[in-house]
Amino acid sequence: MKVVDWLDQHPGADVAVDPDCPLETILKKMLDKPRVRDLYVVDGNGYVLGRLSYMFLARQLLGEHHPAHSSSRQIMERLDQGCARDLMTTHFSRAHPDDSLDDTLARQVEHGVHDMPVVDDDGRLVGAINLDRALEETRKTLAGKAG
Amino acid sequence: LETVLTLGVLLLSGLLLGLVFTHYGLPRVVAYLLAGIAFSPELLGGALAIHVNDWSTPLTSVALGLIAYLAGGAITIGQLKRLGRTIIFAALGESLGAIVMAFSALWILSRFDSAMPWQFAAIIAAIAATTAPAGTVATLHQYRARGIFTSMVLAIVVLDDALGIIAYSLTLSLVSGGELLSNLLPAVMEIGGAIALGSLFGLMVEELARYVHPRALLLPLIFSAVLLVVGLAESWHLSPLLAAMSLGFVARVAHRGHGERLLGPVEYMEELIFLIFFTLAGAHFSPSVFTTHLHIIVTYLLARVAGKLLGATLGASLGGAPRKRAQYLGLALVPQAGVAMGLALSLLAIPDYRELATVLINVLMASTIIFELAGPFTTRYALARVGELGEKRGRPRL
Repeated sequence: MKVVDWLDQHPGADVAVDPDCPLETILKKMLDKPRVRDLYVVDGNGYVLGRLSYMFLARQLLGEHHPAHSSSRQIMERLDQGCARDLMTTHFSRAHPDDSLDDTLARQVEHGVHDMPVVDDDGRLVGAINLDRALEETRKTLAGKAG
Repeated sequence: LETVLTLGVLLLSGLLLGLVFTHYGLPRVVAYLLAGIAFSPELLGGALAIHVNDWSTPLTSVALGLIAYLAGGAITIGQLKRLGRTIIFAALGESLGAIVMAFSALWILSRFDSAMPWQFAAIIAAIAATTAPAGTVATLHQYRARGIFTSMVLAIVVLDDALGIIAYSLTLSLVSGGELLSNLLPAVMEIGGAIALGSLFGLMVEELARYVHPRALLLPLIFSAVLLVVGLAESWHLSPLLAAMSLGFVARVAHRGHGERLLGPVEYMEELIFLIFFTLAGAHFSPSVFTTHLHIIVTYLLARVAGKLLGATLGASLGGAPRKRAQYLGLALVPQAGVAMGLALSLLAIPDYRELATVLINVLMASTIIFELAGPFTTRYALARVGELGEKRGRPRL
């Protein structure tokens, strides 16, 4: 199956946020249902600028409980708590609509990406592959076989 | 002992003593320093034939280059803008206060002490600006401190290292050889060239990092870039520290977003670097240097604290901080450790200052021990006075 076919059947949650989106809104979107663990910062033209990961934000907000392991940069990032463009990483994996779904899922598992962005030839976000949905489909298949 | 064996003995002793100190809630850097002192020439070092000589200079140079890279990347332009006037003014005030006060006091001393040139007063005064974040952060955590004053202190200790490195590099460029005025143009070239070199490499590192996917390859990339920049800066008589700092700053700015990928790998090395700095510094301990320069040590300690207090009060007040916060800010900025010691060790590489470097290292040993031990008490007092002292908890497991 191709990624584009999966997206047609499982459109999934909105994973896009504005570059100026504040931290509180990012968290709300991340914790709301349906559950997403990665959000993507998208500019006005739909281009993906960076990734916001759940674990990074958790470290950012809860890291003060381990002050001795904080570097100067982390202290400053924690104090500042800027908007999406300050919190994103510009280095992230992405999939193309024509990629194989199996290969994409394998990459997600390998790199620990819960929500893989799917971008078209122009670099615009067209959707995301959610690992929960993939696991749910696998569970259904297993249940069908057992039944 | 062989060089590698000497280094192994020093580092392992420092680490083991550091673990003991940590268990009792004492600052680790003091343990590293004491371990180094135990192996100084007039103690165990003499009996075991341990010599910390020329081989330590390139090691210090690389380690300090990495620390400068981290200091440059610790803050972005956007963060600086958002920090606001009060914190910027307070940071500049307490840094300049410490520098001016330490220089004035030591310059007066140099008038009566022919063994201490005014250039030495200027170099040691520049180092007075630095503050050690680790001790301060641990104390804030221990007392569950929260509030505007706490945030101010945290932001300032982060800015301090960068300010200290800049002050030290500028001072060194200005006072090295000849008259101050005749040094001005070469100093501008030295500083400007270093910034240009570091910035160029910063852009290159950021670009290359886009193609480096395995995280394990990021450290080799950054490490080699820092080595290259520091090496080129030394060869071309530019400031290696400013070059490394510019590298970190530009790479971080060009990268956009958070700096985990470009700075995280080196941050893991920070503790090892401080272990190297303090055990090496301790091995330079000399009771005779210590006792004959006691007047410099006492003057430096007092002038630095006075400068921090006055400068922070003045800077924060000018920046619009309420009187009480401005008044007690300096007390929370007393600890001094890692970067200061690294800067002092780097002076050993300059033949003209080699003798003075030994004096400076001994001065900073005393200041590290006193400031690191007294720092938690002064910070606690300041927090209590501004009403941000929370419920005490156990010291964090460092």
